[in-house]
Amino acid sequence: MTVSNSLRWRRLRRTSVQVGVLGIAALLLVLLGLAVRNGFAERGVSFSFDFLWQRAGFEISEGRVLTWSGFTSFGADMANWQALAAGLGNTLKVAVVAVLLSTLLGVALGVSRLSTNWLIRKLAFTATEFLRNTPLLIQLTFWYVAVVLQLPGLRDAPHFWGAIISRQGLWLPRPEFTSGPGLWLALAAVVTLALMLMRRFQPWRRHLAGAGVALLALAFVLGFRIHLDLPEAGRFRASGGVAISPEFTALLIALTANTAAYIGEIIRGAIEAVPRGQWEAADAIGLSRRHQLREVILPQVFRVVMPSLGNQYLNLAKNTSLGIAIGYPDLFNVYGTVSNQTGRSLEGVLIAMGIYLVLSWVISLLVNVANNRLKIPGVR
Amino acid sequence: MKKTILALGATVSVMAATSAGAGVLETVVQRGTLNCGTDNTAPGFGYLNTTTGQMEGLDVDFCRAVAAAVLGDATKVNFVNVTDKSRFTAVQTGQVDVVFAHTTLKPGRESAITVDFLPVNFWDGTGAMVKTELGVEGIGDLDGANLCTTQGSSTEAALANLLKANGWSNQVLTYENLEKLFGALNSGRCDAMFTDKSALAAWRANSANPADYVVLPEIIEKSPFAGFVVANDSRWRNALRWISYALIEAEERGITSANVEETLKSEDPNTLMFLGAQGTFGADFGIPADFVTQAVKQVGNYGEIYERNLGPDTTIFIDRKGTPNALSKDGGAMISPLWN
Amino acid sequence: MSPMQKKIRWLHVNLFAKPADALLTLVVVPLLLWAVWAFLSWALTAADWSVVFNSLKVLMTGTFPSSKLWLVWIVAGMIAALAGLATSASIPFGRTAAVIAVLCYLVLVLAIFGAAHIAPQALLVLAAFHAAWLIGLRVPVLRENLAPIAFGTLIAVLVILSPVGPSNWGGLLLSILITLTAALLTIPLGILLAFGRQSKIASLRALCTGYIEVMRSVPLILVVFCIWVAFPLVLPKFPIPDVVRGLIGFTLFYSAYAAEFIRSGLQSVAKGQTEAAESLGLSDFDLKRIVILPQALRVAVPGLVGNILDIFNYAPLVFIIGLTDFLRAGQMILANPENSARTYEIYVFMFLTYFVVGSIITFQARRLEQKLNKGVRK
Repeated sequence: MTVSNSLRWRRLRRTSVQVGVLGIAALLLVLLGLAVRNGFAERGVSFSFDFLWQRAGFEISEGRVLTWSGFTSFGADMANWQALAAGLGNTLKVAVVAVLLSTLLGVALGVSRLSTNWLIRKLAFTATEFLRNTPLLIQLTFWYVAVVLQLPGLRDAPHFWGAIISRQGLWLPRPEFTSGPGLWLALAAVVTLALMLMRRFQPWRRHLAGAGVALLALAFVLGFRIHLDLPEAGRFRASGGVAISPEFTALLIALTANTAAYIGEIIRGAIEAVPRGQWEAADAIGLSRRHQLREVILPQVFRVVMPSLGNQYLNLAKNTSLGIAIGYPDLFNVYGTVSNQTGRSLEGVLIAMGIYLVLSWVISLLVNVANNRLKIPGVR
Repeated sequence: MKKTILALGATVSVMAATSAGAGVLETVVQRGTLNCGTDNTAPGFGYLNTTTGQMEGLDVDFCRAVAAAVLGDATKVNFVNVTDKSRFTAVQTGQVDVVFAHTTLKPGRESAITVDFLPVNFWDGTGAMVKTELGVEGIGDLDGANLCTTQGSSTEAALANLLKANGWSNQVLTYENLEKLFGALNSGRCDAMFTDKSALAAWRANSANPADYVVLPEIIEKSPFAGFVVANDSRWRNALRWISYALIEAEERGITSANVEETLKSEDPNTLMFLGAQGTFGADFGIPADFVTQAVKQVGNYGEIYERNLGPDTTIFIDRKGTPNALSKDGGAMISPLWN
Repeated sequence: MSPMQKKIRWLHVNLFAKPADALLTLVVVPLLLWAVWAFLSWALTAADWSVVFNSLKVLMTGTFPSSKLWLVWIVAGMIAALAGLATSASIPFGRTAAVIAVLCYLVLVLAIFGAAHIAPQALLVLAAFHAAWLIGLRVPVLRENLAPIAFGTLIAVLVILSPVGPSNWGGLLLSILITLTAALLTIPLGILLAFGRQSKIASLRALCTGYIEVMRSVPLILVVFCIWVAFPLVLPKFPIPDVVRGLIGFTLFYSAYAAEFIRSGLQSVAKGQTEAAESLGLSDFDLKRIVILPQALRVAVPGLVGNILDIFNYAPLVFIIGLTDFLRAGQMILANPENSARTYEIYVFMFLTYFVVGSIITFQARRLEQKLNKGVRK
């Protein structure tokens, strides 16, 4: 039968094209690999990942590694892979905080662009333009050199409620909990009180509140106390408290401000895309402008902007790699040091690329989950 | 389409397979210019003079000497900027033929990183500079201080050793280059700036107010600087090694850029052999016979190079007397093997 | 209403509509005035701008040999003319007389402040810009064929500069060359990738999607560094200059972004168009070339112009492979300890330059978007 023949022929052709394309791609990759191997061999270098288990032999300024004895600061006696892990930890640390802050600041900027106050509107516009039209690298250098490092020195640093703000770093008081059975009761109390906030548990609110307070009281009786570990300024640095390095601060500010400018534009666009009728309807039922925004407009905005925000979060995570310009030991920076101490650039690049890929996929995944949560079922 | 890609792939693999033959020396001669990796932010060693637009420094002059010796023209150098981070990769990937970038010569760099080093062209030591107002007198007072250095330098390892030896747990910050490092010291982010003492002296001397800074007296590690080339190309490495030695030998013999022409008229067969008027030194290395003459004539002997870049007339001025950088007959460590 | 009343009304509506607004205004205005005052008093008295003028050559061209600077001026004129032509595609001449005046004034100020020796050349470059702008408005053929003209200009620019050697390109010149080259090369690559991602061949689709997603997931700085390391290993026979390897890295990275802009353009082309063209008996290739691509590119243009701004803003990342772009040139000047006290002057100058160039690109993108939207009212 000619029809089935021609169908079979077409299927065969299609399969052969598929195989051909994949084959060429695979061939190219293999050739590339061979060429790289030859290149290495010619220079008397071998391609190997052994360096990961060798002693690092250098210090990095901040970063913790998970070892058998919990999180410990990275030291020169640890292995190179642990240095990379500490770098990844630093990347994550700054990325997570910057994502949260830039979303808040971005929404504020986006809303300010539509403020009724001309001055605020123009200021938000100018700030956005400036942040978007200049390189992030020079902004980062500016925040570090011209702002963070211009803070007072440790000896003349001001103290705010126990916190020390100096160019050598920020030290915040750290709450410390007494251990023992009281701690667990207190945790249970916190969980109980947190449940109160969830909609599902609204009917039992009173009971939960009562139980929470009772648990807390019991914990107190059993000897549970919170005391603040206040930082104390020494000659070169402060001891105690939570230390935040100037490099972290500068990178955080730069990433937050830059990403917020882009998020602000997304939010503004989304707000403007909300039909006018929505504002008018909210106006008609007598909501103030602030309430119109908070109760009516923004919830709709967040349903549509999630994918665009996801892209910005992705960019932010990638931009943490600029930390190298101010000496923040992020993944890319530590990779640079490791590859320089060991001479393993290409192997290191492959590892770093793999880590960034996984990181980006995780972000995309989280954004997708958030997007599906926020979407109203059935509404596009 | 498919054929093109296949052909391209085949060419790639063939090229990769056949390239093993030609050494760096042949490549350089064929190209007609020397790709020399130098720093451009280290006054005295490799520095771009932003007013004249010319590269200056001891390392830069070594590049020029190599070009003069191998190609007969000291200007045939293509200066490629390398950083502490990129310098080894640059040589390994063949992007530059040789690097002179105040690089510390130590075993791991020849064994693990696999580059081959040339003779030491400057003896330095790793030290520290602090602000005067800190009131620190020696490195021993720096327990707990914020110590800073540049990324990819040998100082990173030296600092780790210093901390371990003393049982300290200081914060160690690494910056991308000296300019940022000095900025961090200036702003007070860093209490002490660790790098080679020559660089410390240069930055102190050129600062707005040198009295604001103190270079601490100790040396935590000696730091011999040397150029390096790709591993396992002994023709190229040996040629460059003896070009470096020639600059020292010329100074030992008192041959300078001013008198080298005159010296060529001398009767002494050993001198004539050294300068290439007789003998086969050049031919044996595969470079021009008059390579020593050209290098000395166009760039000068080691002493001249030192005076020009680090001598008393420069802003940096690092005294040569009594240091390993003096000739061995003056009590230093600079000495050439026998030319015979 | 008298003009005075109008002004008061404007103030009331825009600054003092509500107590909260009034409070904001009263807090912000003095702060703003103080900031402007502080900056101006520093810029005009404390700052020493001579460092900028003395090192203008390094900032603009890096290590370019001084004897061949005239080549740079020719190139600057050509790029200015190209920019003028691009401007004519989106902005009519009349309204922007003020902008021109400001630009000319800037040059004049430059001349007074000790850069007098380059004032004639700078004026000529400016003239090339305005001439091309005017010509572009009069001769529609030119501005409609902007892409081929841009490619031609780019090739001419590279040919003119090639005798000097890519390793001597630096400063703002290098930043602009990277931007121009990468921006132009990403378009054909992006088109191929976008079509590949929508191809009927599953494996091709997977490959293109994979490439685009991987490039969008890793940092640019890593891609540039990786290409820089890997190329000499793969092609040891052909030593490719740093600059070219940097350009390849930028192009490979940003073509993934260009592909996404073009793909969104492709998706916006109505399905009926394809069907109509198919019924006319056009081949698949012709259909894509004649019917779909022009419409898709129209939609993608604002995004692609935004891409240019991104490339320009991330060009400083070439510091990682040792190139001396504009930002790095500035830092190199500061690396001279003699200039270490002049940090702010150099950074302010660089900030302003970046801001001016970036704003011009953004402005053009916006104008283009408005103009294109006008054409296709829904």
